[in-house]
Amino acid sequence: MNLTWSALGDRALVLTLDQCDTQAQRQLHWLAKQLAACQGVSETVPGMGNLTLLLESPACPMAPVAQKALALWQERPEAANVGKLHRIPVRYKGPDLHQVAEYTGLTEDKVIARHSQVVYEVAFVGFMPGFAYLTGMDKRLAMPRRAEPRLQVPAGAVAIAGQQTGIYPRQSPGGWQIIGYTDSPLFDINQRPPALLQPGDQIQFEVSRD
Amino acid sequence: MIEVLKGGIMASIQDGGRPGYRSQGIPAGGAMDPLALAVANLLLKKPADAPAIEITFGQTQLRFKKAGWVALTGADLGASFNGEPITPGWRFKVEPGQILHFRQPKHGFRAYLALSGEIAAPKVLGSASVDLGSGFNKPLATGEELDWQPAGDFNGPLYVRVPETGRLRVLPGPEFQTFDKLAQGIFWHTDWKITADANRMGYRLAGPSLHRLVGDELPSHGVVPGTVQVPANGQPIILGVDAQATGGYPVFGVIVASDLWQMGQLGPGRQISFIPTTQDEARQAWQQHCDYLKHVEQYVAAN
Repeated sequence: MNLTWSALGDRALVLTLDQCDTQAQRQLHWLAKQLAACQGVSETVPGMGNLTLLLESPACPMAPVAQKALALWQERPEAANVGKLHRIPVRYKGPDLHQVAEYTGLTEDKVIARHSQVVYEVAFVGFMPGFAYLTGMDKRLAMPRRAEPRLQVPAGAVAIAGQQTGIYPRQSPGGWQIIGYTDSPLFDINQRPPALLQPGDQIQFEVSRD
Repeated sequence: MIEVLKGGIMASIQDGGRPGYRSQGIPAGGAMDPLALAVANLLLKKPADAPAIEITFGQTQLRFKKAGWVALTGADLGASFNGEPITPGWRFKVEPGQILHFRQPKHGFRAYLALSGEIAAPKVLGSASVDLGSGFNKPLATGEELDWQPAGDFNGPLYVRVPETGRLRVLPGPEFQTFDKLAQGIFWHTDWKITADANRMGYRLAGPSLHRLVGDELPSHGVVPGTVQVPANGQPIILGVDAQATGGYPVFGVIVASDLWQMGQLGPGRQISFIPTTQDEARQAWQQHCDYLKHVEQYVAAN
């Protein structure tokens, strides 16, 4: 698995994998942790099969940081540790649950079962504060976004779009198909880190009956 | 106290932003023109990234209820102080009851008003900056009162000249080579128009379409303010300081750090053009940027 780098302006660089699977993504998170404390690096931002490094200043030479990252990658552990496991209770009563069942040809109970029986992993956090991009969803649940996005999706909405599932950390507009809700606080500015779900963490949705 | 007689289009407290939280999905935020913010603060001998009021486009009216020193930099938004026109670059004293009134842009797009002492502004993750997209803090609203505790005294009014805006230097981005030669040429030679869809998150540009050789979907990666993305329609988007922390569009290039402040002074309807540069030139330009601020700091200390 080959890692290359390219400059993103004069104060950041992107490390990119030529291919990526779950294990490689975990190794990228391992690399992010190693580089966070590295001289000249101010931020590490995991993406999908890539890792962006922000320099402390445009005055910092970029090549040594890149060389350090590529050298560390050669020393990556065979099996990188996974993050924390979160159990997230979900009330599967979303307004689009019925449409998802119809589209996928499954019963609503089967949709719920398939959604709650796998362990997801946080590939990265982006889009809005605390929004985790989860990998591992059952392919049978894949469904296009709503033709008409909702103006307001409530905080805690558990939703599906394409091959992805995710949870809205706060109220926002959105086009994902809402299948349920959780009361778990996903983003709290008073916590460190403020996002509940961190890159590399694992998530298991649990069916909540109340 | 400062009474907001008129909030205007988008007047908000901004500082150096909240870098360090991109992996949490949080934009860096902060002043759109960090150079003007720095000069305003330095005129009052404050840290360059201290909170100040960012006034966008104009229409804002503020009444001071206490005596103290303020500094105005950035755009010329047709400001008058106590009825007299005042141009950006000045540090001056205000007295209770006096009014600072911004009308509309004569030059530039965002003005910065720094205040000696402290303005009480709630901090979220270490920053008082307003970030509408993330829901952090709120813009100045008509009728609102800002708690201002002036402190410190100065020898007198002082003026500092700020560099002029011009072409923006851009470094080729990770996907630069995936645009054909024609598209690359078009990018550098076009006077792009900033559309009405321009805010602190990003500026959509209008002009000829930029064609990519490959049309593959790209996985999202971290982005920085000043990143020039090109979506499938071929019309570039420049990311602002409130842009989301990760993006998935092809990156044509990135505006160099030393020129990023200029984005804050460009508004809808304005033309914008780019000039290719190298990492070495970018580093030299950053050095000049730092030297300029050092010079301002020394000049203020000596006066």
